[in-house]
Amino acid sequence: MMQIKQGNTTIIKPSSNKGFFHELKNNWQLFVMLIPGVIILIINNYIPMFGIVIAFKRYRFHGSFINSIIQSEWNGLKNFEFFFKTPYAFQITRNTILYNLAFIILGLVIPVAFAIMLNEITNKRTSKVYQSVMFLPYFLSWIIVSYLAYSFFSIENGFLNKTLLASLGINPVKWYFEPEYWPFILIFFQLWKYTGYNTVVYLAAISGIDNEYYEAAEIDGATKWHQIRYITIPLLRSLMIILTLLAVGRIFNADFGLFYHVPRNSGQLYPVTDVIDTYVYRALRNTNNISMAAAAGTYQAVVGCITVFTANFIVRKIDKDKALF
Amino acid sequence: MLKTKRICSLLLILVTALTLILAGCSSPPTSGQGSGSGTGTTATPTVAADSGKTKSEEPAVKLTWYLVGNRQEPDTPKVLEEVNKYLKDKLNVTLDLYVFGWGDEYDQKVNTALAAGEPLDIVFTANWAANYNVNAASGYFTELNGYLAKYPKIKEILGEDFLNGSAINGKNYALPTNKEKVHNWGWLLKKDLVEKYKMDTSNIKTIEAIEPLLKIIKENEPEITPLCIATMDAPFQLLDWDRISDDDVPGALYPDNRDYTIINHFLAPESIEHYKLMRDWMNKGYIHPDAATMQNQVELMKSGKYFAASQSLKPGKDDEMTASTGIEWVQVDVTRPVMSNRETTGALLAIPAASKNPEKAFLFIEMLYTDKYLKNLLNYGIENVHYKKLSDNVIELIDPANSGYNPGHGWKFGDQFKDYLMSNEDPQKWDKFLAYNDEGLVLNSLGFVFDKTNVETQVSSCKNVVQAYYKQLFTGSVEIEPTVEQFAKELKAAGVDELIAEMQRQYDEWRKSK
Amino acid sequence: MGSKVNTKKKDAISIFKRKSIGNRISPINNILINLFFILCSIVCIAPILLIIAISFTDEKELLVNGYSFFPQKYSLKAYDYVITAGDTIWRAYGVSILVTLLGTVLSLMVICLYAYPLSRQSFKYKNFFSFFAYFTMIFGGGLVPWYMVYTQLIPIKNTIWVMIIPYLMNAWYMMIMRTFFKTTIHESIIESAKIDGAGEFRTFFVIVLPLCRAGLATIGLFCTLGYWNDWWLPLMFVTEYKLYNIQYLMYQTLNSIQYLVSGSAQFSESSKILAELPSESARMAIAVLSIGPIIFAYPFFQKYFVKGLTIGAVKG
Repeated sequence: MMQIKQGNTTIIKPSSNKGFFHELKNNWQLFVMLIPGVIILIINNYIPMFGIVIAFKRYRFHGSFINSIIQSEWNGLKNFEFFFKTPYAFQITRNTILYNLAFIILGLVIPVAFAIMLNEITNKRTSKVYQSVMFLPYFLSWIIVSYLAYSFFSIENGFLNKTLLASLGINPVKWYFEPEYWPFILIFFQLWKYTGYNTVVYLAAISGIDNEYYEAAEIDGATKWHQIRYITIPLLRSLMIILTLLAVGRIFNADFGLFYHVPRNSGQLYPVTDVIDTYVYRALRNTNNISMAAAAGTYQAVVGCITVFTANFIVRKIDKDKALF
Repeated sequence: MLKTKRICSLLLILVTALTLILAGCSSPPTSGQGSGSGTGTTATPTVAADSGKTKSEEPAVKLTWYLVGNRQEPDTPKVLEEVNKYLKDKLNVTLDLYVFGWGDEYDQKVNTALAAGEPLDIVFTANWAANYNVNAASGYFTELNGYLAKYPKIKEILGEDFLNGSAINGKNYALPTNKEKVHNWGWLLKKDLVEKYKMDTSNIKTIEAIEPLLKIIKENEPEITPLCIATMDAPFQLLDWDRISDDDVPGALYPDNRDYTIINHFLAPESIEHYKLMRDWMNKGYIHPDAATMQNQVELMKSGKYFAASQSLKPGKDDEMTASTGIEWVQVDVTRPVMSNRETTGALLAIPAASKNPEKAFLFIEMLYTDKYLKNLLNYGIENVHYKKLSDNVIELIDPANSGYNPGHGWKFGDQFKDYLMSNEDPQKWDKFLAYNDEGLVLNSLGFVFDKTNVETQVSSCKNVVQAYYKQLFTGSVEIEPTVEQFAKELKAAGVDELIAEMQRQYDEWRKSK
Repeated sequence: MGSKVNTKKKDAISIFKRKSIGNRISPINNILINLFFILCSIVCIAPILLIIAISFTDEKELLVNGYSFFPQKYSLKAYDYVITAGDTIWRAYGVSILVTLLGTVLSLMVICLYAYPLSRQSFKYKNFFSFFAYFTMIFGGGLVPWYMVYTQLIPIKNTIWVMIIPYLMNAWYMMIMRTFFKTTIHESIIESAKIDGAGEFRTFFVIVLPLCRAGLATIGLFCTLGYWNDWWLPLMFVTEYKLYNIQYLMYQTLNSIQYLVSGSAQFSESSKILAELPSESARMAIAVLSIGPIIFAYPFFQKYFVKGLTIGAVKG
């Protein structure tokens, strides 16, 4: 390993031009492997990127799409204005970031804990059953989830007010008018839907860990807790870092279905449920303004880029191998 | 850092190169390869003199038509086969009809296709689907005045007033359906309860006038909620503001032509009074405590647990709702019928600018107004397969629940008065409609179209503010004074004053030019 | 979680098992963990059961009494409504299954082939290509240009391929797969294969992939779900009724309802249309029918998944 690494650094040193062809000649098979993916990425992602200019134009139709882009007049940053010139600019940005932070942290800790626990269960068959069952919520669309949520929170007929609180002698709560409960409710549903899914990834990673590590640790008298602390978690770390970094890049993008359908678009709850995606949706619905839509997307992407570059930079500083790129 | 820079520049070069490749690929006008490709051509709407006549040796022109609806009916291919047989001799065109679901689905499909310049020939548009005003202003639709002058039949059927009502700056970009042209608001009351308590509904001419009835229900029928409200379907509609823009955008005129001043109707004194009345009713238990989160008024009405619901009315609305909810209703008209932009841009057909055969498309649309056979074929399907004729103008659907073609297209295009009547409908339906149309007061603002371009930011901000407040106010779910105060403050911050001023400016200009 | 050590002596037989008996958690902890997961399972499965119950509930009963696990009046009308919509639903199933199978296999291939070189320490451009893929996750060109690519550049609109190709390469899964390769495969294994004279492709298919079955199964599962649950591509690119998939049918219905009831459609006929739309129970029936097959497919995946684990363990 050491040798290879050393060899690697010496190769990087020479001028990049020679390096590339040298690499191409040496590792042509690896390059061939990349080809299908590269082609798809170019077609599906890189070619459409030139459309970003639409965000800076006032799009008007002139015969064909390409023609329209060329002939539409420049609009500067005016398309971005609807985003900032609103009394809610701070509120929606804050909500988006805070919820995403909560999702990132909880979406890391809980699935890892679940995966470790599931892995420790003696009876593998029951472990499998738990795993399958916890995966189920992932299949439900947010619209369906919103119906379910309503069956719990409905003020008059909801399960909570009608059955639970009534039997405890507590006054009914107007759930859809009281913002203070909703951060918890939204976080709960997000975790409910995705924990099973994420657990599977970590479980697969744990099962990839060589059993010899544990056997050796056991001979040394390590406790179960120590084994988890010093073997499992360190070996999961690179996966944890990758998944977190990926999520960080999307910190400005919120799960529309969760924030729009589950609170039933109740205006009273906007202070805690309104996020960038729902705001943009409401603002641009019924307008067919592709310039403003492109502006919103660009804004989210630029901020996402900045955050992920920063995060990646920090990770690189600490451990070069674990960085995203 | 240096490395990142290099990566970035490499990427940039790559993207630029690819852009050039794509631009090279798509700039020459491609000739219809595959389905739905080839946007390169610039379809300038020239009224060519010779192509009006059809020559049988010419290959048939294919017209693609996007329409909104519940779903694509399973028997659509069969019906289209009949349609095409018929059209072959008449226009030498074949028709391709696609129906997409309400809301996001239709908007997504049509708006993307329009922006991408796909060569569609006919699209359904309205103030609530594939937004007519915005899309016309963006240049997606062909101007039709030339065709209208050349082929005057549609103008004769629709009438100058109505057609002008849907024009933007004097230019027609789409053709409205010929149907009821006015609207009014009122109540639907549950018939059995009206009869049980021998209620007199003849004197109900204001919103408040219904209160005694609600009181009777509240006191005597513990199982029944007196008033049914869900989202915008609220008694607020009975104020009938003549809105300048969308439902959730502030800015409206009084519905009685009293003046030319546009006001923020959400904060008008009448509206605030109304909110207070609703608050009072909420406290008295006339309104369901969940009302502000209810989403579907009709579904609530179906449950039979509500007594009164505010509805937009027309002749025979009570029968219609009785049929569709399975509960008997009595109709109480409250507001006077008016003809507003709500109707003129309620259902239209447009010809996209990218269409390759705008003239053929126009002639086809004309047939929807003039050709009774074609209209009913598209509407009800094939005779003796999907429906049976009972008499000359009255039909009965064959097995309506499992029918392969029951799209309910009647009001979406052409001349609705040419539609056959169903056996359960009032045989006088169309006569009543015509009388109702004549009754309506033509509002001053008819035909005025607000152009959002200069105030797009304010419009979207205000929309969001209104969305955040209207449900609580319309249902009286919150204390009115502090909420209205907060509402006003946020609207102000969102730029409502600039918005109203811009509306006023455009409105004054439009009036001068008229 | 803080399970205590079990200081039993190591059993000789246990070497052949995946985990030595001595290294198991104590029975009490085992019971506690089991209890915890039983609770979690109930929280997860109850709503699904509720949806199934609703789909069999009589419509009137729903409006009057609300949702219940044990409705007083059962009805099959909802399924009747959905299924009598002609052969639509069966054809949609066919499309979904075909797209899912084809898409999963192709996608897994593209992703693994891309991820493998990036996992190699000795591959100099791994950072560039990682970034090349990752960048697409946060930056997009917008809807219309993307739409243009599939209607103009490669005109595959209204074909089965348009529901497959755009999702073939997924940067997210690629990164996970890369990490799997990195952690499971030691560079030394590859080096020794090289010394034996195996080319990169041979090494990859014969040595690397079999070792990474757990990762393959996981990403394969995600791809399957991704293709199965997709309604976005049909929404964008499919206008031919014959090519609708099952999720799109569900989307169409649910979305229409959501729109009509949200009060956005202020036109005089909206109430009439609303009355004709499927009821609450029919919506749930659609949901049940759309998730049904994939739920049945899941155990198969899991079986393979577990099998993959044991093989990996023996080899490792």
